[in-house]
This record gives sequence, structure tokens and C-alpha cells, in this order.
Amino acid sequence: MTQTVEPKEAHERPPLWRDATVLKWAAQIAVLIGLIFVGVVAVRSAAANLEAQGLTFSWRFLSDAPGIQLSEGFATLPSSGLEAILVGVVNMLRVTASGVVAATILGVIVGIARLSSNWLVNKASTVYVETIRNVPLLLQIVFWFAVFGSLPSLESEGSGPIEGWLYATNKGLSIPWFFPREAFWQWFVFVLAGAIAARFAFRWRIRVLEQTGHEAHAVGYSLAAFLLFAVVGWFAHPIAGAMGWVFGGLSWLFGSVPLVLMQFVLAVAAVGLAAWWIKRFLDSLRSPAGLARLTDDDIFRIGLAGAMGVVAAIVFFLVPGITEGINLGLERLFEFWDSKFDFLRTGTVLEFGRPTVESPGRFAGFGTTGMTMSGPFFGVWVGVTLYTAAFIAEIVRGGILAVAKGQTEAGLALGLKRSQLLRMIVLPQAFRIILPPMGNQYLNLAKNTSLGIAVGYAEVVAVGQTLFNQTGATIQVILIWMGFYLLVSLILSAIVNWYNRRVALVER
Amino acid sequence: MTEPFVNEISESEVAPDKPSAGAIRWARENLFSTFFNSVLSLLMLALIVVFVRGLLSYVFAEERLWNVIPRNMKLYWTEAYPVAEMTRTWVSLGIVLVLAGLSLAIWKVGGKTAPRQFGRTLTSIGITGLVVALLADAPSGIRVGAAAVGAVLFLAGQAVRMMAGERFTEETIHIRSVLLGILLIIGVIVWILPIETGTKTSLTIQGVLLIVSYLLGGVVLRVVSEGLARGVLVGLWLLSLPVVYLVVQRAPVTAGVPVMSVFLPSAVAFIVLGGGLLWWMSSGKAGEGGRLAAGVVVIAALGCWLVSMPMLVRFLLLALATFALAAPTFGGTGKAQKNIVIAWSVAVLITAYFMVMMQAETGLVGLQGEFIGGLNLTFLLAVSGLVISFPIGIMLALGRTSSMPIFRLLSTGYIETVRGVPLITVLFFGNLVINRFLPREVELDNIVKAIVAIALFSAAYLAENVRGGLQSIPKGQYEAAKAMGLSTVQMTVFITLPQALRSVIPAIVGQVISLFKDTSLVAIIGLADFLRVARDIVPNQPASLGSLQESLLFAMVIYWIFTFNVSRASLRLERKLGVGER
Repeated sequence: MTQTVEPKEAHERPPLWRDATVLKWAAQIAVLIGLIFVGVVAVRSAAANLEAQGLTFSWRFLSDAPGIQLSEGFATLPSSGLEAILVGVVNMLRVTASGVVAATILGVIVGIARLSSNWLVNKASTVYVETIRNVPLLLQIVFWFAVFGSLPSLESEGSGPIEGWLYATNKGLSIPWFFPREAFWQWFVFVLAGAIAARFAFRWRIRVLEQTGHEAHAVGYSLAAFLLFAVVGWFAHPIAGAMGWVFGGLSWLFGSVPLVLMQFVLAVAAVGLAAWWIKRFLDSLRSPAGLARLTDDDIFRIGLAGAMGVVAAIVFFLVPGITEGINLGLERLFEFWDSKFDFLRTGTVLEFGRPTVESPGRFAGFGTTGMTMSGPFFGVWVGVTLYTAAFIAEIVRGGILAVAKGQTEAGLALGLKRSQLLRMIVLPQAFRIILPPMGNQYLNLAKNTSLGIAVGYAEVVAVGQTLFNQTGATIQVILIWMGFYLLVSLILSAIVNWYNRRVALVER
Repeated sequence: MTEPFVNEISESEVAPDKPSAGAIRWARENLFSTFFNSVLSLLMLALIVVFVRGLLSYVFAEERLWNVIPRNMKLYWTEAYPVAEMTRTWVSLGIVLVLAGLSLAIWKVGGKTAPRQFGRTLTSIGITGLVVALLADAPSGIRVGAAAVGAVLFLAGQAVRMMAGERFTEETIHIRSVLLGILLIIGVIVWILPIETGTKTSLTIQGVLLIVSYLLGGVVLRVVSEGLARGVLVGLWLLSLPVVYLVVQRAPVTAGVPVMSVFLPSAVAFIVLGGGLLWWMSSGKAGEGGRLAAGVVVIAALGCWLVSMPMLVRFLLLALATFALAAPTFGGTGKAQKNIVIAWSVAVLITAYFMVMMQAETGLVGLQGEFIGGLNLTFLLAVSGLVISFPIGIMLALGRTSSMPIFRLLSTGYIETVRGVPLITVLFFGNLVINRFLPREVELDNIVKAIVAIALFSAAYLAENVRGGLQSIPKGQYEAAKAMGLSTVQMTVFITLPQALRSVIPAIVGQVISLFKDTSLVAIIGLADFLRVARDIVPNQPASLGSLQESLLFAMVIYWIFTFNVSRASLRLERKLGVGER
């Protein structure tokens, strides 16, 4: 710092060991090499350790019969490791989906109650939030599971609050339910079509409203369109069985297409995808004046995308197994859907089932007689719902507070009622602020379901633990866990980002 | 799982006090302002009565085994720690309380509160007692007791309001005298309760220690400057962690450790040679030679893990590498050079001392498994996880905001991967897999593995918080630092990082709270932390069968007390720092 700086000639480059750019890259490459070195050492010692224990790193356990029993799920005695993990995935998604719905409803109610001018409502919701979010979730889940365990035991007679309709016992909470039957998917096609029709009807009526200014009953119209399709579909569903031909055809197509052709198509798709992404990226950088200078970061991204596309294309040709797998998977998938559809197949769509006690301590099997919520499910579900709702409530409260006060005042000045004000002015604007953190909370909820392992709920982590206890495939199972949760995070954040872009204000 | 939350200041806490009105008018304004509001109030009232009554009759039901909790207090706090050595845990607690007392005094925590607020608090506690007495389905003894305490507190609250008279809303009551009062009441209760005399005495000593160290803190402030006292205290807090767990509680026996033949010579050699090297490197004349030397030291520090040598040398080389990298930044004048060498000597001595303690066998007898458990373990996990995750998290945040693409990519990849997976998978990774990736002679303790996993997990979240702070710093700060001729490292250490850290204190406190709650997950991988004691160990004793819910509720209350108070403290800190108002 104390030296005087000699005046330099213009454009004189410093020597290599003083050139900041060179030094920065040298440091980065050195760190990268160091990390790769550490990684290689770690992997080699892992291999040595595994060998010393007589284990080998293989994925065989995914296809072998694991010989484990799961407490609940679509296959409690899975025939392969992969199926066991899929059972865990489905169980995890089940509790996540129901938890997200319940936590959102509860959280929004509590969040609005936090801002209520009614002293009692306000204080009660504050107490709820401050109590729930300051206690570890795991403890709450364990507690609800313990509460469930203290419910009365299931007897053949007189153990439900409403005999034959509702049971609350330590073997499960059971309620009546509708179960899909053989014609369900054919009807479901109509329901999907109804949803699309409802959307079009809604847009059409809104257009009418905007053009004429008269009440156009948009919600009513779309509801009617939806119901129309659902009711017609209930009787006309055999027609949708024609979908079976489409699926059958696709299945045949993937079963008989030559491997080389498929490899070629996939390779072209990979390179094309990379090219499309690069083009879109360049377009997004292009200003009206032309292309700005690319930073090293941009060049890095473009290079990475291009390289990934080319590498993927080469991999498709070098490893035919991948393409074979894709072919076989798609063939099986469409075969499966083909089996759900049959032109002019008649049958029931839904069947209503009431809970039935088979013998003391046992409900009749799942899928026919009522929906039973097991103890572990109850513990995880109540735990994550109450916990996440407390955080959602704070987000909702913050979002509503963040809406400019002038909006409220303007709404009141227009003569809107409190409820109208909330519904039409405040909430839609608060929604934009609420959405990103809300997505985060959903993601947290999804990750928190992994605590089900503590009460024996058979979700991905618990199933994985049972699997590696049985097979010794610890590293593989942990890789599967991480991959699965990363996938869930990526999908969820992609949805939230997409929706966020849609509802974001267009800045002028 | 780890969702830091930020408390917002509610309006009632900021708004000026309204003139007090009669209870009827208050009720009309706040509960029965409109028809809808009245209906809502009545419904809510009914709901609250049902809920509170249900809760109370649950708590006071005949079959509740609350006596299990006081009987097992030792298990909750320390789990399997040998009873004969319990003095050691009391000493640990004493160390923490002395530091806490000093900190309270030196940071001047507390301040004053208004009689209005104080009276209101007393009154509401009193009303709570009366409600319990009224609604509880409990033995009449408890009801009468609750009613008596409630009535006394209620009257006391009203008396405070009366006595304050004119100075009703002025802040005249010292919070520290209120705390002292609470401490005294607790002291009296401790002596009434049917617990062992030894425990009573120990608790009393702890209380006295707290008060004495608080008073001592006031004296210290008069002698030395505030900044020095705070700096020393932060150092003592950091040291207290290994002292409490490695030295006091582990009771090491140094007989088998080659202190004289290995540790002392290497420590002296490192102090002399490393000190000389650092003196030269920090002189500002080293130039490229210094950079080269730092590079050599870094390579040596990493390479020494591949060849077999004493652990102490490996750690000291790592420390030397850190110092060597930092030396040019902090060096310059003769005084700075001297400071660096002194800091290095102290660091070497501390490292060597704790390495000796780690290598020594534990002197505890009658151990089964780990010697740390219960709340003791929960605190160890939370605090050490936090301390270790701090440097990692800051490095990751700097990496993610760096202009160098490879560092950015690596940091981003790490942060997003860890944030995308649940903690329990990271804990399983730490517990079952880390050992497989390490050389075979290294065998990590279960607690150490859990700490590593928690620290690695929490570092990713911390990095995101710090990144938020770094991005909130105005560009002018960077430009001004550059214009002053500071190097990038100097700019980061002296200008941007301190500002970034201060602006994200609330977020970091939120994360500390979730870290504390998240430590309960180690119960799943089999460590005997507080949750596991409350869930498995206590209720499974033959004498306490059927007490699972009571035990879990007790654990909830304890966790709640800690997290709630930390979040309240963070609110106050936030207001004091004026975050968001600058």
C-alpha cells in the first residue's frame, strides 16, 4: 500500500503471475482439481471399505425381491426393491398432497384471523402460531401418534362414534369413500374434457362481461359446462374407451420401432433442445439495439448447454441400453393405459363403500369398504398440517399487510363491503406477494413428511431404511433419496416460478 | 424443517398507548363492534372455553402421571451421565451461567419497563390462574392453590397500577429487578419442592453465581472499555464450548498422552517457525514470495492428510495455512505484525491443549455408550453445529456471489442440493456413509458424525441468509472500498461482510431457532438426545409405563420456552439495531 505506483505505458500487460485474470482462473482450476482429487480419494477408500466388509456397489437390489413388509401402501409385500421405493413415493405424495390442501386452508384462515379487529380471534390465532412454530415438528408428530395410540381399540360392535359410518379407534380413523371401478378412467376422460370446456366457457363469459358490462355468470357457466360433461360421461363413458386404440397403437409403435431410428430421434431431440435453449437464452439477452457483450458467465452457460446436448446425443448412441429402456418403458406404460380403456366397455365408474369391521382390531381390506387413515399417517398428516399452517398464516398476514393501504381505502370509498374488499381487492394483490414464500412452505412440507420414519409411516425414507437394513445398499439408497427429493424440489419450484411469472405485474 | 422465520413487530407493540378506558367500553370496541363481530366473539369464546376446559381436564385427569417428570429430571438433562460425577454437569452449567451473567451486564440487556406493562403482565397471569381454578376438572387442592396464587397476582397487578398513579406509562421499573425477583421466587419454590437436598443446594449456587457474575460484569465495565470486554467475552463463549464438553464433562486422563515428548515440542516448533514465517509474510515486503510460501503451506496442509503423521501436526498445518492466507490482509505495520504473531501463538497453544484433551482417555467410570445425552446433547448439537456451520456458510455465500464462475457453480450446486433434501437424509448420510468415504483408520464418534451432518446442512441455509445480506449492500460501498485501494479480501473482511452480517441478524436468529428444533431429528438415528429421552427412555422404564404423552408434553414445553424466548430476544435486538429502518 505504501509503495508509489510507477506510471505505466498504456496497454502494457502485467506479467503472468500478477495478471488478475490469470490468477483467478488459476485459483479456480486449482480448487477444482483439489476437489476432484479429494473425490477420487474418497471414492477409492469407499470402494476399499466396501470390499473389506464383503459388499459390492450394485443396483441389483432394485430388481431383487427385498423380502420386506411395509405397513401401508399399494403393495405391502413388494416384489422388487424398485416397487418398494415406489410404494414409499406414493405414500409420501399422498400425505404431502393432503397436507398441502389442509395446511393452506387452515393457514389462510389463521392468517386472516391474525389481522382480525376482534380481540379474541386475534389473540387465539396468535397463540396458535406462537405455540406451534416454536416446538419441533418431530415432537409434534410423535405426540399426535401417541394421542392416536390412546384411542379406544377396535371391537366388532359399538366402537365407532357412528356405527358403520365413522370409526375413531387406535387401528385407524375410517370414513365412507368412493372407489374407482373398471370404467373409472373412461369417465375420467370426460371429466378432463369438462375441465377444459369449463375453462373456455369461463373465458367466453368474461369476454362477454367485459364487452357488455352486464353480469355474465362466468362461474355458473363454467360449472355448468363441467357438470354437463361429467354427467354425460357417467352414462356415455364406453365411447371414451376408444382411447384404448390410441394407447394400443402407441404401445405397438414403441414396441416395434427399430432401435437405431429411436436412437437417432432421441439424439436429434437432445441437440435440438440444447439449440432451442441457447437460442431462447440469446433472444432474452438481445436488446432492441442488438446483442450486448456476453459476460464470461453467459458464455459458460451457452457452452455448458451445448456440451450437454452433444454429450447426451453421443451417450444415446454409445449406450443402446438407455434407448432400449426408454422404448420398453414407454411400451409398457401405454400397454398399461390400454388395459384401462376398451371401446364400448360397460361397467361401474365409482362405487360407494362404508367402513366395515372384519374382526376385532381389523378393518376390512382397503379399496372396497371405506377409507381408513392409519395411525402413522394421522401423526404425520396432523403434524405437518398444523406446523406448516402456522408458517403459512404468517406469510398470509405479511402479504395482506404489504398491500398498500390506499387500496383498502379506495375499495371502501367505492362502497364495497368488508368481505368484498378482501375478496376482490386485497387478496388478489396479496396473492402475488404470498406466492413465492408459499411455494417454499409447500416444499418444506414435502421434505418434512420424511419425519414419518419416526412413527413408522412407510414413505420414501422409511422404506429406504428398511431396504438398506435388508440389503446393505446404504449409499445407493441415500442417492435415491437425494435424487427423489431434488426432483420434487425442482418440479415444485418450476411450477411456482411459472405461476409467479404468470401472475406477476407487467412492469411498464 | 429449517424455515427461518422473521417476527414482525405487531402494531400494538409500536403504537403509542391509548388512554385507558373502562372495561365495558373496551369490550364494546374490541369484541362487540358490529353484529357479525359479536357473533364471532361469542363463538370464539365458546370454542376457547371448550378447548381450555378440555386441556385442563386432560392435564389434571387422574390417569396423568405427572410425577414421572420430576422423578426423571436427571435423565432429561443428562441421560446416562454417571451419577457420581454429576458435579461436573453442575460446573458446566455454572460456567455457562457466569458467562451469561457477565454478558447480560456487559451488553446492558434489560432496560426499563412501564408500571402499566408490568401491572398488566401480573394481572394476566393472575387471571390465568383464576381461569384454571374455575375451569379445571382437578383435585380441589390444586384449584384452591391456583385460585389463591391467581388472586394474589391479580391484586398485585392492580396494586402496581394504583401505586404508579401519575407515572403510569413512564418506564420506571428496571427489568433486571423483575428478573431478580423471579429468580428469588424460583429459589423459594426450589426449597419447598420435594427434591434432593444436593440438587437444591446446587441450584441455589447456580442462582447466586448468575447474580454475582452479573454484578461483576458491572464492575468490569468500569475498569475496561466496553469493546475490549465484549471481545474477550465472545472469545470466552467460543472457548467455553470445548471446555465444557471436552474438559469438564469428559474428565480426560492425560497420563497416556505423550504431552512432553510430542505435543509440547511440536507446539513450540510451530510457534517459533510459524511465527517467523507469519512475521515475514505480514510485513508487506514479501510480495510474490509470500504468496508462493502461502501456496506451499496450503498444499502441505492438505497433503499431510495423505501420509501418516500425528493429528496435532495436521491440524496445526491447517491453522497455519489459514493464518498464512490471512496474513497479507491483516499485516502491514509493526503493531499488526506483532498482533498476528501473538494470535498465532495463542491459537497454537489452544489447539494443542484441546488435542491433548481429545486424545486422553475419559476418566468417567460406569459409562454405557455416549457420555452426553438429554438436553445436554441437544445443546451440544445445536451450538457446535452453529459454530461450525458459520465459517462454511460464509464461504459458501461468498462463493455464490463471487465473480468467478467455477466457485459460483460449486457453491450454488452445494447450496441447492442440500436445501433440496430433508435433514434426515443428510443425517443418515453422516451416520452411515461418511465413515465409508474416510480412510479406514479414522473412526468418527456418533455424536461427531451428527454434528458434522447438522453443520453441513445448516451451512447451506446460513449461506442463503448471508447472501441476502451481501446483496443488500449498496454498490457504493464496494466502489468506495475499491477507491480506497483495498484488495478484494480486505474489502470483504472489513467493509462488506460486517455490514451484510449485521443486516441479516434476524434471519440468522430465525435459523438458529430452527437449528435448535432440528437437532431433535438425531433421535431417529439413535442418539439419546432430549426428544429420545422423552419419547423412549423415560416412558419405557417399568415404573413410568404409560407416561408417554406427559413426557412428550414436558419436552414440548421445554423446547417452547427456549425457542420462544430466543425469538422474542431477536425481536428486541432487531428493534435495537434498527434493521429495516436504515
